[in-house]
Amino acid sequence: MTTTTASVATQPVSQRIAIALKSVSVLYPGHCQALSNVSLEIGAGEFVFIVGASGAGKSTLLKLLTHEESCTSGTIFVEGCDVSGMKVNQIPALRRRVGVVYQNFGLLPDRTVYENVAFAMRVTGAGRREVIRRLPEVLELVGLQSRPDAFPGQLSGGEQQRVAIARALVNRPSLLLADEPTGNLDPETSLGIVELLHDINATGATVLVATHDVAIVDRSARRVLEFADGVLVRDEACGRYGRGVLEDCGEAV
Amino acid sequence: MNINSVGFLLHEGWLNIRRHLWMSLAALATVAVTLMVLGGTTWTAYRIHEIVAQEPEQFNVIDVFMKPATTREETLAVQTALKGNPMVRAVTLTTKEQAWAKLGSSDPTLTTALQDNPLMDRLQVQARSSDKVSQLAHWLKTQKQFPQIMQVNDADYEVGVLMGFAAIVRNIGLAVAFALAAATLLIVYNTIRLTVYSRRRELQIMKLVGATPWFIRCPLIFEGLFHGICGSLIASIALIIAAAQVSRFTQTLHSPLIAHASAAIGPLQVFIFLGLTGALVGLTGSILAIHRFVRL
Ligand SMILES: Nc1ncnc2c1ncn2[C@@H]1O[C@H](COP(=O)(O)OP(=O)(O)O)[C@@H](O)[C@H]1O
Ligand SMILES: [Mg+2]
Repeated sequence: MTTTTASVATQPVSQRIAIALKSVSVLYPGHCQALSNVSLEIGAGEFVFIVGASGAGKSTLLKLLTHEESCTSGTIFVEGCDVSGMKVNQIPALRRRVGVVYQNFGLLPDRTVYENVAFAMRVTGAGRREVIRRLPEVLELVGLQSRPDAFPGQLSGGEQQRVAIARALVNRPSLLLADEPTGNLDPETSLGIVELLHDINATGATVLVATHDVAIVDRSARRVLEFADGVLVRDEACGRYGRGVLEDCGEAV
Repeated sequence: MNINSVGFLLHEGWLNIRRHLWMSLAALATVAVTLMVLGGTTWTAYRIHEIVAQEPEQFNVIDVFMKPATTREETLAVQTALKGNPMVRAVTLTTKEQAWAKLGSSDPTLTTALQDNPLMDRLQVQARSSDKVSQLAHWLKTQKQFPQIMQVNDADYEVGVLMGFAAIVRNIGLAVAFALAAATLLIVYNTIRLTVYSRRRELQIMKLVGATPWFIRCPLIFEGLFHGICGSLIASIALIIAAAQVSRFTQTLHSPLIAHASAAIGPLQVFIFLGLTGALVGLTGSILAIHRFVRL
């Protein structure tokens, strides 16, 4: 007991491992090698871009982390849990600790902003009171505190993505995965979304963003993992979308 | 799963129904009609079976007529001997004098015209059980032990016909009831399939944010139960009213047998029978549909 406490205490928060992949391969039916022999580690609280051409395996990597897909070989650890050897009844608990955001927002069109976000709380067993307490703060975090009664169809793309982010965050996950979150948005709106993701990261959450949006990666100056045909070809602590040195890398890890 | 969640799940189940309200109402109406026919068929089959199975005494009796020349002592000896037969429960003697007196009281002109009593002593032999009747009648007809016996009349043929009829009605009833239950199950199954389709986004989100499989299934199971139970409620009420109408009509026919056969149905029995059937069918339908259409 004492030794455990000591070892945790001596380990800085930023160096705790949030995600660890060891020799992970994914072979889809039809002999499509989506990921081959990928090993990587991501510390808790990091902000990481996953880049690569379409079909490189970015989405597959993110799906592995929520057990939407399972790997053919290798081991995957998320927040210390062995995802690759996980039993089916442990998956809900994993997904409550991992928030996900998609390119197409995935909102329920016949429910308001408030109801969309509340839905994620209620289906994981939260009571009405908890929802009433939590909702205003998460809507304020994404900047939608003034539109709780709007329906998704009445919102701009950027606002819809904010709702999706609020929904992903409402159960306080320690890990946020965003798959092409700006894919449907114009450049300016995209920057707003990325800023929001940075803000969320600043509160301590680990954030992974799969994207092929050059501008946001280059402006952010964060860690970049590049995939090509399922192979991890580049891992830079402070990278840009393409190869090349980024001059302004002061604040990066 | 706490109390808060039960309210939420019921609400989500209701949203499922409202999402395709007209489909739901159509399904509900179909379930109700099917359950009503099922209830009616089962009830009729049960009644017919009951009449034959529970009132067999009237078919159990064999009339044995003695030859006119038989003395009273001989008749009494035959009566005693027959009572000793293991297939026999009771033997009642109606003497020719008693029969004559009875005939005279009901039709005096006939007895006056005949003057002499042409009737015979009659022994009414009651079999121990209805399945022994034909065996006993056969034995009485073929025995050589009592030469005083002139004629043996039994209800063998009628019993056979009635039993056969009852069996046919019951089997057809069971087959129809079974087919109707299967039809109800398919209706519920299809309704849940539609719900799964129209709520695929919700189901997807539930999975992604970490709802447990039971939390995902619950609203769908509620929906199946709703159709089964509401359908059975409607069917029960309709059936009770219909049975009461039939009963009121048959009471006016002055036939105890028909009146008994069509006695009004006990409401509790109907509610329990149809309610359980409806709930079971709704539950099974939704579970099968979930199993088939929801990937958890
Ligand atoms: N469910 C699947 N079944 C078969 N092949 C798939 C499936 N999902 C993705 N793939 C294939 O795996 C490869 C990687 O896909 P993906 O991870 O979606 O790439 P990215 O997100 O980088 O565009 C692609 O070649 C794609 O066609
Ligand atoms: Mg992708």
